[in-house]
Order: sequence, then structure tokens, then C-alpha cells
Amino acid sequence: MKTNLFLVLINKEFTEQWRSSRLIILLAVFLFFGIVSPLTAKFMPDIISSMVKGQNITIQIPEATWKDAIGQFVKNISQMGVFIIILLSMGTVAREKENGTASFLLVKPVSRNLFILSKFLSQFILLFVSMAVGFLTVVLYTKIFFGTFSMILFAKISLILFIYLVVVQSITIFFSILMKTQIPAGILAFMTMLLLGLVSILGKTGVYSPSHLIEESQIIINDAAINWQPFAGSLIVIICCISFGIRFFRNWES
Amino acid sequence: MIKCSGLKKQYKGDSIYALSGLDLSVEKNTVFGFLGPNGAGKTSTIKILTGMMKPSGGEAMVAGEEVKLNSVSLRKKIGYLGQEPKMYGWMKGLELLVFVGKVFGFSNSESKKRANEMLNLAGLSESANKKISAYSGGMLQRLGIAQALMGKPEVLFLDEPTSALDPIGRKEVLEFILELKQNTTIFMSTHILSDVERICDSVAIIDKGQLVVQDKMQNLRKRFASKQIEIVFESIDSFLSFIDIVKGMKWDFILNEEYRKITINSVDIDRFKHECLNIISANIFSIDKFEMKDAGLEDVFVKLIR
Repeated sequence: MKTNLFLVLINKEFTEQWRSSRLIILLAVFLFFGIVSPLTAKFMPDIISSMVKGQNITIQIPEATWKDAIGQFVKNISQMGVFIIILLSMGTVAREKENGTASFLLVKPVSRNLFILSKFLSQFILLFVSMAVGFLTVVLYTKIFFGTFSMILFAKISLILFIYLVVVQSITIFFSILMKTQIPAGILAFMTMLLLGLVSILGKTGVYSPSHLIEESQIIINDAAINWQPFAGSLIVIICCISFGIRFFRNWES
Repeated sequence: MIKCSGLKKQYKGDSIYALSGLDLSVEKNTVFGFLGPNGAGKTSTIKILTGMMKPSGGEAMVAGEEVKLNSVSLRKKIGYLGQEPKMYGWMKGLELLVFVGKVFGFSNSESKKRANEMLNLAGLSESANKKISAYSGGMLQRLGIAQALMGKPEVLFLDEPTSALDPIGRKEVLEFILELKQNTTIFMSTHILSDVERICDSVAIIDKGQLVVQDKMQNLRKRFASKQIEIVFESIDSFLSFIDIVKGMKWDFILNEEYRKITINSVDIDRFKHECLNIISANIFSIDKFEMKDAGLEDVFVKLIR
């Protein structure tokens, strides 16, 4: 039976991510924030109280709920998580160009479109797996510390967070295709994320910025209606990164 | 098997053409030596012919396929090994070859079978489960050729396959290449002329992006056949005095002052032999060596490139 080339490429990506420890790092990051977020939410009031103890100061801290645990997870992932994802994804294509392995593979019957698509898809899958690990950890620890909570709501929040991280990954991989080396790709991806943050404060256009996804995830915690514009904006950014990335790479010469 | 006409390449921001109208023709099942000094355009030609680079002009056909930047059908028929073999260092030797087999559309069992055959042919069976990053230069080169052969290519492109190897590694790789000749056309770029003399059936010499000469190895020797006289002087004084005398005679010669050696090229070698001996005996120059020999490919190369 003949093998499916796309699956062969995806499998190669997974193996490479595993052996280079990048997958382990990503899993560890989500696992870490999955444990730390509910812990921080639960014990932060106690920590603050103990810090001001004996100083004759009274601080009224409302009792932490499962919503605080999830809010903490969203905050951690949308800050540190983004930074780590840029670091782990910036070499996706640039590293292969630098090492010469892109030329090694592309002189074989592998279409460039398939090569780039396998890069995007494998990264998205690995992110999804890591996100799932983070999700399950948060579920477990939030159950332990806070008892019952809305798992469906948290699943929705995680999905929004996942879309936001896919935007980050798409932008990083796009620059990894564009640049010859990985460091400039990472810097440009980081600057683009900052730019999207700045754009988000602009009136009519700003509402489409993927940066608003983080706010959306906070909004649904409080059962408010979500806005569709950041989702549309994110989808456009992801599609543009993939299609322009493929288009640009078509003319790349080794 | 390979034909290109008027092939041009100009790199962005460069006013000079790396290739300026290159014409080549390579016959099936031959080892073709592609020679030229550094920067002559050898690697650019190979990158164009393997579909890794777009030509700025001209056209080429390889194994019946038109050469295009993203032509998958072309790449099904070729194998390629670059100057320095770049492979996935985190893979093991066997694992890489199985992966390449699958890329060429073989099933898992077919890939494994062929990978083992190739490892055996490359003399790497014992290192099959060793990480590629731990391979020596010679092993990498042989693995590079093995992976290039995985897809049963009609044409194998080798870009300076022996330049980074020690003499033992070079010998191994050259013997390996010779074994492939029955089933594959081999296009090998190099600047190691002794390698070409040893294994190539036909040769092309390029310089400044243009073809200088292309012919079968034996024809090339005949066409540019010339005898040489090599004289090594006992003392530097004799050497310099001899030079002073012959300088005025407009002879075609190469000097090597360090070894007090002069090499004189000529078709009419008998006349030169007598003249040289007359000068030496008339001036009582002491010599260590006086030898007449056939010009090799190296001499043809130097003569044509100069």
C-alpha cells in the first residue's frame, strides 16, 4: 500500500518535535500553568493576608471562585504562553532553511504547498494537544480546590484561547517562511502581536483585532454575549498567513 | 538524458550573470564530469537542473522532463546530493532512508527493503541505527548518495561529492559512484581533476558561466593532447638563469620557483627538447630531472581556463 505523503510529512514533524524536546517544553508549559493557575487563585487571598499581617491594614479580598482559577489560566497563557509559542515556532521553516534540510526535502517529490501545509497543521495539532493537557490539568485542580464548576464554559474559553494561540503561531510561522533565519522571524512575530494589540484600540477596525479574543474569553466567564468580530479578524489573519506563506515559499530558491 | 540550451542565471542585486547561456548535453548511463574553477557556475547549474532554482533564461530537459522550479514530476526522476550533505541529524541512518522511500511513494515494507539495500550498497549496514549527527564525513557522504538513490533515480546529481573527504573517504565514494553507472546517469560537479580522470566518461569545462569545452574523456585528451617537458634544476641560480634565457623565446611554460621546476607545453615537443638540452649543456646548468610526459586533464583544464 502506498503511503500518504502528507501523513509522512506530518509524522516527521511530530517525531522531530518530540526528539528535539520542543513538544515536551510546550506540554510542560501548559501543564505548569494548568497546575499553577488554580493554585494561585485559591491561595492568593491567603498570601496577601499573610503579607499585611501585623501592619494594621485591613484588606477586603472576596473569596476566590473557580472563575478566578480560569481567569488566572487565561492570563498566564495569553502572556507567558504567547512568548513561549513564538520561541518554539519561530524556527518552523527558517531552521530548515538554515540547516539546509529544506533543500534536502524539496529536491524530492514533495510539493512546496504540501511542505508548508504540513508545517502549519502539525504545529496546530501540537498546540491543540498541549492545550488539551492544560485544560485537563485546570479541570482537575479546579475540581480539587473549588468543587463544582462549569466545564462547558471552560471548554469554550479554552477554545477561544486556542484560536488566539493559533493566530500567534500562524504569524510566527509566516515570518519563519519569510525570513532566512529564526531570530528575525521571532522578533517580527512578537512585534506583529504588539501591533495587533495597538490596532485593537482603534475604533471600528480595532474590534476585529485578534487581541480582543482574550477579552472575549473574560466576557463569557461573566455570561455576557460575545462579539464575533475578533473571531472573524483571527480567521482572516490565519488564512492570510497560510495562503501568503505558501505563495511566498513557492518562489523561494535554496 | 540531460540537455540544456542558453541557460542563464542572474542573482538579485548582481550585475554579472552567474550563467550566461550555458549549453550542455549528457548521454544516458554515463558519468559526466562537470568542471570549472570556483565561482564558474557549477552549483547554480545543478540547482537549476534539479528544480531548486529558477533560471533567468534558457531551457533545460532532464530525463524527459522540462526543468521547472516546482516540478514534482522532475524530482521523481532525479537524485541529488549537495556539496555538504544536509540531512536530519536527529534521525538514524535507516530511519532517514525509510522516510525518503515513503516520500517517493513506496510502502513501508518497500521503503525498509530498499533502505537496507542502499545501506548495504553504501557500506553503512552496521551504522543503520546510529544517529546521523554521529556519522563521520565519509559516512555522511555515502549516506547522502544512498538517500539520493532511494527513489531509483534516472539521473543522479552530485555536487562536489568528494571535496570534503580524506583520501580514504574519497576512494570509497568514487568506487561507490562507479558501481551505479549501469543503471543511472551521473552528473558530477567537481574541481578535483584526478577524480574526473578516474571515473568520468565525458567532461564539460565551464568558466564564468559559459561552456568552454565538452567532449568524451578520450576525445578531450586527443584534442588537447600535448606533450610536456618538466625540468627540475639543482640550484636556484641555474633555474633563474634558464628562465632568463627562455623568457625571450615566447614559450608556453609554467614556473614553480619553490621546487625550481619549469613545465613547458608544446605540440612540437621534439624541437623544444633539443633546444632545452642545448641551452642546459651550453650553460652547464645542473639539473635533477628532465622528463617528457603526456599532458593530463589538469593541464588541459589550466590551459583552457587561462
